Amino acid sequence: MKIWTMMMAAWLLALGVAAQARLTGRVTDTSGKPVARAIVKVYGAKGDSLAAYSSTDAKGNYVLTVKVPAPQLRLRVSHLSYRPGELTAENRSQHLPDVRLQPGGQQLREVTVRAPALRITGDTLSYNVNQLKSGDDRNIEDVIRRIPGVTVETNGKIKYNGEDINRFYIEGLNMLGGDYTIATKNVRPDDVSAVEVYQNHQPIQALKDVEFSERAALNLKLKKKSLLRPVGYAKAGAGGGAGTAWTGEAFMMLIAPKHQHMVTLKGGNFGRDYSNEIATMPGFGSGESEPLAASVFNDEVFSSGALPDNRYRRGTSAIASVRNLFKLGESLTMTVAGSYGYGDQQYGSDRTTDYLGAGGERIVVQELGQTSLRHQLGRLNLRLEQNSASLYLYNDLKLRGSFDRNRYLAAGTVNARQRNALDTYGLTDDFRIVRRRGQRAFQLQGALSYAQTPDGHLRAVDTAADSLLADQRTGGRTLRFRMGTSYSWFLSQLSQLGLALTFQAAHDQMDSESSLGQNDARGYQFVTSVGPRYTLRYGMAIWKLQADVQMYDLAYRNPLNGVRYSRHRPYLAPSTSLNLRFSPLVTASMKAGYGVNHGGLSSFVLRPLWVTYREQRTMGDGALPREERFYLNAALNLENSFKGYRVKFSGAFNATQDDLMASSHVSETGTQLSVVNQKNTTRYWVASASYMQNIFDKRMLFSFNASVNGRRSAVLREDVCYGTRSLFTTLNGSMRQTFWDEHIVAQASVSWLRSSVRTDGLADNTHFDNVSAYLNLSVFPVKQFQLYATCSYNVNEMEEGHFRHDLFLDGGMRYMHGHWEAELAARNLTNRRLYVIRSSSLFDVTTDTYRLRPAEALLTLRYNF
Amino acid sequence: MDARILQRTCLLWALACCALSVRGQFAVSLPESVAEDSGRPFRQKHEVKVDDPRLECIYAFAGKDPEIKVVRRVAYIMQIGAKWTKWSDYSDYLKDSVCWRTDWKITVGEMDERFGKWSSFWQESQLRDRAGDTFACMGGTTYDRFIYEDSTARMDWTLTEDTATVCGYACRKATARFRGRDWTAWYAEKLPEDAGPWKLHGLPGLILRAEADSGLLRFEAVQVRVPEGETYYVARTIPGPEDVPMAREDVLKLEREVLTGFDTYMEQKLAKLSPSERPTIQVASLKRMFYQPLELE
Repeated sequence: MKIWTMMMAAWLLALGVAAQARLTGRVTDTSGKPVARAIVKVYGAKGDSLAAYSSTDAKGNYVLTVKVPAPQLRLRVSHLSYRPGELTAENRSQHLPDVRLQPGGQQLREVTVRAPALRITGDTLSYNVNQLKSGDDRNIEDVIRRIPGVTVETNGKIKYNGEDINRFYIEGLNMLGGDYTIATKNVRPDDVSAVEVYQNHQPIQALKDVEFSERAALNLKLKKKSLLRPVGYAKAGAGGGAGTAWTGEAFMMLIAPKHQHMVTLKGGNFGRDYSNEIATMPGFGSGESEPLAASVFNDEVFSSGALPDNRYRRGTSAIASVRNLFKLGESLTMTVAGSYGYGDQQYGSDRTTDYLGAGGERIVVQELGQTSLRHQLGRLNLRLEQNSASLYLYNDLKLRGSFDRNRYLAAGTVNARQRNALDTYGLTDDFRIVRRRGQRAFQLQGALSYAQTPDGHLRAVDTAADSLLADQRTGGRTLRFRMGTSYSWFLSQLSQLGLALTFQAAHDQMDSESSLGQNDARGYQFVTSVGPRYTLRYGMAIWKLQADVQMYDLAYRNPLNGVRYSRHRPYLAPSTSLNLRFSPLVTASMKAGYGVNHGGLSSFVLRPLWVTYREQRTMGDGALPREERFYLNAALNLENSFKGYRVKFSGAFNATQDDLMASSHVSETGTQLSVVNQKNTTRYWVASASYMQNIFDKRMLFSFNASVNGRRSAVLREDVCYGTRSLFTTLNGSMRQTFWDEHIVAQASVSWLRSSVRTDGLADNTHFDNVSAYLNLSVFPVKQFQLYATCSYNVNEMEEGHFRHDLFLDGGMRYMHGHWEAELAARNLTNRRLYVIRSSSLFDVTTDTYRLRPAEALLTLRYNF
Repeated sequence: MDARILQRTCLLWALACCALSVRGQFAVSLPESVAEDSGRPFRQKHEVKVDDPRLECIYAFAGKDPEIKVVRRVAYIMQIGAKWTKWSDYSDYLKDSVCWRTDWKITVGEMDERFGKWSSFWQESQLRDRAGDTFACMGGTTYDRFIYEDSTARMDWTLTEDTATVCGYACRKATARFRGRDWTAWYAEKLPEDAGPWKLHGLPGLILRAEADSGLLRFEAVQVRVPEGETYYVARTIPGPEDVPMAREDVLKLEREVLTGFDTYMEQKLAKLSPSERPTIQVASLKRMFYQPLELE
């Protein structure tokens, strides 16, 4: 037995030895020199499975032990600096012939894995633009709108987490102020390396850790290649449709450490309204004041603006803008800017309004309208800003002028022709000083503004009767001054006490003259406010309590009818807020407050004013109204920036009690609006939820929003008081995805809106459903060539259960080669000529019919530098 | 004196950064003399060129320390020459290359302006002699520097047929147990170099991804590049008197002591400074720094 076992073991050992081959050899170059560190791999004849491998030593020698039973072996030799070599050999122990490698290294692909889409440093989120952009992006705004938490409204306004941003920097400098759309709509993504989001950004360095900010700021970090030299583009194009179309655009930006410049010139008649690009967004400075006389006329007489301008407006739009920033010191900057906008646009739209008349009778008024709007706007701006840790100095001087010349032609129930002319000039100066010493901060801020409307005219003629309907002249001015100071100090590491003192003064005047009577109202308003405030920071919670005492001193008069009115009394306006951070991912905020508002000059404009050729409005009733307001807002945010998702739930409730109620009288020939002295309570609430997810790796963006808002109030129609309840429900979802290595970019969105109005005492309660869907598809057969199509589909409810369907198709193609781009853009390929939308305003129902631009196309050539 | 100031500066900033990484509350104030020192050259030349790199690979490292719930992310670079390969912290590599480019004249202040004051508290670099298959390792903390030779770093790889794309290259999978950890590596046959992150090597292609113990430790290539033009060479650092020869096992022990008993270690080191040189440091909740050694035995 023992012998048998030993024999078996010897046989097995012999088998093993027989299946193992030892191969030796040498690898050299063509001149016979040894090649060190070459990888030698052995494969069996069948398949590609690796049988053994080794590397050569300094003398080019290798040793391989092969244990596979294949009769033939293939050797592959590879080295970075040589072409691969091969050898075939029998599977037995032997010394193989030399393998001679031919010179010529492998063509290695230098590969860099894309940098992460997001880096987080403290409160700064830095989004890598290369990761967010795609081939169909035209400007940096297209990239910014893909950042989780950011929403960009149709006018270009940027919000982060539902709050307006408070700064838009380029390379950390505030050249743009509130005019940032000129950058977002023109800077190319190729010039930007990162978009940084500064969360809870306190733009005043001296107030850091003293005043908490809920708002965020954005900063564009440019690529090195785009710094210190002019970058931008020039574009020109021509085309046709209803007539000859043209466009011309030029944009230049130069960003350097000590100075920044931006120049824009644009014009065209292809339906694009450029005036948005020179508009100032809210939340920057104290804003510009307008005289009451500048807001009398209604520009949109026959339409509600529910359709994008480029679908139905014709005519020319042009802008010119120059902005310059100079860094005068380490923390001192000066900005000089000027802009001019011109618009001359025409469109046709018809309006049918179903009014509630006396005794529940319905009055239908039809207006077949032609509108021509000519608008010019000029601005000049000089700003000085010193922003250091101990001192903040700010002065912003703005000059502006706007000039409107509008014409309207109406046929239908009344045949009329109307002309408006309105000029307004204004000057505003904002200043602010903040001094920080240790944990104490002293602030002084103020604003002085003056605006004047010297001459406003409205003249309307009944063309059928050949008679004058309205001939009205209006004028007025406003002078406002605001001064505030505050001082705060830390009671302990956790709590802070502050005191704010604010003084506001305003003098307003308005006069008018027409066949309806004369107005000459004037008066002043002084509001002195003293507000102690307390801030407690505990862990990740910040609680603020503020109790303002406001002293009102008002005096108004109307010398034409001898009305005089004055009020001198204090009011309390307490407010509180709570900000919580439960974890790095979950935050919540809550605000509540109570305040009292008063009317102003408008309460003493007692004679009716013509707003349009068929609408008259009486602004006041000779007594100053008092409006008490209570508000409560709450929001819960869940965000994980690395994973790219953001969820927000928010709700708000607002109750207002005032002693004025809107009243109206309607007839076939006209509408009279006025206010009467009657108690009225308005309640408004809104609840919303939103979810946004950017899956950076898969280049997919998904968002969903839902909101419901309701309003309850009372109005007078034909001297009958009606309680009204309205409810608006909105759902919308959108998705964007790139496929096949970005050869296809698809974007789709769907939204549904239901508006319901219920009026007490009326049997008919109205509700309308509107559904709109949007699909945009871009195809890149090669990287330089883009084919795109956009399909918009709208469903509007005309009558209960009866819907109108509208399909718009736009498309085009773009070819990019080096610095050049050629594009053929076509619009309204389905050649829709009419668009109808129905909407309700309390108990009146309006149907607007827009006459659309026909199918048209534009060929443009663009040079990027 | 210079060496002491340099040591102290590095120590302070390393300490501050480490404190941040574990979210400890800390406060550091520097003595005046340290701030005045920014005009001094950042580093003296104490290295020699041993090779020219023909391939360079940058790796992103992510390691988890479940005990203090910290994920450490660092970038490393592997320089591959014909005779030598060098593995170093990418931040240190950049600083060294800047020193070389400026002929070692760059000052502390200029370097701080470019890179900030951060550097890893525990450092280790390895220079591998490809002919002898031995690693010359050096590193440590600001106070305890070590050098040792590792000639037994061999992995017995098991090749598999699994494939994946890493950093744009088709890779094959191999597994091995090495010094107490189970490693899974993905190597690119298109890059015929028997090298990889840290001490991992011995496969018929460059290792572009390696992970141990189900992702507890992970290296992944983020850039593969062919150096062109005048590039920073593969350098061998000349050991100084502060670099103490140690056995590899003693280095592992020192690493555990320093990183798991950080507060005690720092107290001991600071006690050796004179009162005038001792900075004001308050560190809380910093008993342990990230500790997840690559080799356990």
